Amino acid sequence: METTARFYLERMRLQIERAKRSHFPGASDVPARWLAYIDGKLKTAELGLNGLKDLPSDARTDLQAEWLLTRILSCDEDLDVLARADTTQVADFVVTALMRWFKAVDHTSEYLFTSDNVFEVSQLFEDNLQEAEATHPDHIEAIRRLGKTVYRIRMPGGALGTALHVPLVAHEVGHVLIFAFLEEIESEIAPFCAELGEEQAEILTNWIVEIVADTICGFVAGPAGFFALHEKLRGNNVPDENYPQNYVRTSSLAYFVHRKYKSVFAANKVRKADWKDWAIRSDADLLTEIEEHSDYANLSRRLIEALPQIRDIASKFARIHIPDLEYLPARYAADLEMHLESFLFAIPPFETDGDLRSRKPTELASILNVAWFIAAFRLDKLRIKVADVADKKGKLLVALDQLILKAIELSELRRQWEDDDERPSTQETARTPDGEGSGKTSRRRTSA
Amino acid sequence: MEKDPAKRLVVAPLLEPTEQLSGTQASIDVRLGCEFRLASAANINVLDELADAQTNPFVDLPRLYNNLYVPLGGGVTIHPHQLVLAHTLEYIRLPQDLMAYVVGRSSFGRLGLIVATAIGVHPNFYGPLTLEIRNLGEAPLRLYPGQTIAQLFFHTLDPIAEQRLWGEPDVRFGTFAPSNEPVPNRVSSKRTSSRLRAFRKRRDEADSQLRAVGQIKEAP
Repeated sequence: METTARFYLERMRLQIERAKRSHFPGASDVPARWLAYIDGKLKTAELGLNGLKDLPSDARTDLQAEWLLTRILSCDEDLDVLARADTTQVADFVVTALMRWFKAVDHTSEYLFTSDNVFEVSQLFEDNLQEAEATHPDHIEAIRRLGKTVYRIRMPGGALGTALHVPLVAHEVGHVLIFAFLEEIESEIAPFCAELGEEQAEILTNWIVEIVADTICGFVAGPAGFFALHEKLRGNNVPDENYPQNYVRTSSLAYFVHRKYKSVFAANKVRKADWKDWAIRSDADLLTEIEEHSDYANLSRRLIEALPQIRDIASKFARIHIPDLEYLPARYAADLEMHLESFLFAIPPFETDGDLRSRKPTELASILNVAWFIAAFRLDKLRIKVADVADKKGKLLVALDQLILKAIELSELRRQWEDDDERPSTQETARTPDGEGSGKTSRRRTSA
Repeated sequence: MEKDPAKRLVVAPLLEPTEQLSGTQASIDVRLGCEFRLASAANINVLDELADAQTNPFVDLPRLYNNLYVPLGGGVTIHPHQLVLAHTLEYIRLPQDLMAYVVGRSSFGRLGLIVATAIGVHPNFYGPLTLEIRNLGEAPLRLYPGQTIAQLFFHTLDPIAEQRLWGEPDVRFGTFAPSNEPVPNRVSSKRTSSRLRAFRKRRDEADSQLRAVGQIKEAP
């Protein structure tokens, strides 16, 4: 057993060296610290193996060697976290832009962005899950350097990634805000679960948390949050312990967006008929669609009846804790006024207009909202030449997607150029890891 | 700034406008962007656009290049005689009555770096420009995104001239055509490529007949 453990110890070290050669987004040095943590974990295991060397082989030492082997093999799972975190999977500039949202919510935590086929946030590491067995000084130091809490943000990237879905990451921002102020939000949710059994109360709490995160998504990402959620949740799912029916969520966010940005839509001549692709239901309609005999009929009714209050709680909660992230109607109006017409003529909104010397980079939420306004209501006016007329819509959406990415990239480059005088670069530390980290699998997780 | 977006010339973002738009020169300096395509000869056999994909599976042009995104602060080394494709940092959008030429900056030229061999940019173009960069010097050169690497010179066009050529107004006007992926999928248009293949097939058949009657000897 000790021989096998030593073999895998060396194999893992080779894999760590390979991972160190990957390029990770410069906005976060978590990959470097995470690799250092895995390295430290191996060093602790090696100390354990060295301690066994002079002992006689018996059942006790075999058991110890087997346990060390398990620890070594668990490093493969730890390394797997980084397999989809390099810049070929998650674009450097998208991470930089999103990082500002998350840091505004909780700047004491760290964030690791990875590509997946779902949107999800989970805690990769919590400081109270310290590894009691850490004996090597590098391992202990790695746990210390990894920080208090590390969130792993999963979102579609690589071939699956689309810039039009980036607003959905604001839903995960909502979840991080909920994690950060859990007691506060739980005390607001508790009255809705009165008189319910423990199991039912837990399910309703999960559903309400999703509605709160959806509303925060609209608060941060504006109407773009609704359009992206609507596209992502198309179709009627069956409710389960974690999620209510999709149409309840999309209709709730639609109501929030319609009410908040009504005057902007009106000023930009969005007619009722223009919403035909974005089917939404009133609260009354939602109630009539409940399947009376389903397991969740009672909870669905409770949730739908509580939607107006839940949205108010979520808005108030967000205004208290992340007021600077609110995408205001006045801002939406100004963004459309400044960028919509230009965007239709293939000029993406990466900077403000006006005098060349006083231009400023555009905010992520502004880029996403102007783009989604076009995708939802003005795609036929996009003046871009496409070769295949038969699939014109698809081609135009791909062109729009590329323009959004270019806008995010250029706005971030301008921002970095202007900010860089004072700040030391984090890119080198991200690429040449010299720190340490510690790891745990996800405890709390949720997804859009 | 031109109010009508259809007529607006865009070269942005200009990170240092006074430096890039010097009053003493008739051009705009553009910077090296972050996207690179690095040629790796080991990935291909021979670049022959008419080759049969069955017999030469490595003719696929994109296989020649590895993609690389280098953020600000990072760098790329170009070795002597190496070819690298790169983007400009600036996003370019030309209105219908303007075209542009891309010319490498002389300070890089003196180091042996040649920029942009396909230098014309057509009206209605949008996107970053692709730069073909080659190091003709004797020493490796390190390039950094954000360096001013080339210049754009603009020329106004007379749409009447085009009308004279075609006899009718160009339907492209007012619709913008995107920049292509830096690595081309093909060298010639489908039409030209198909015509050239037909010529080659005819020539191969003729050679084959001559070979049959002994007028062309088989290669040893």
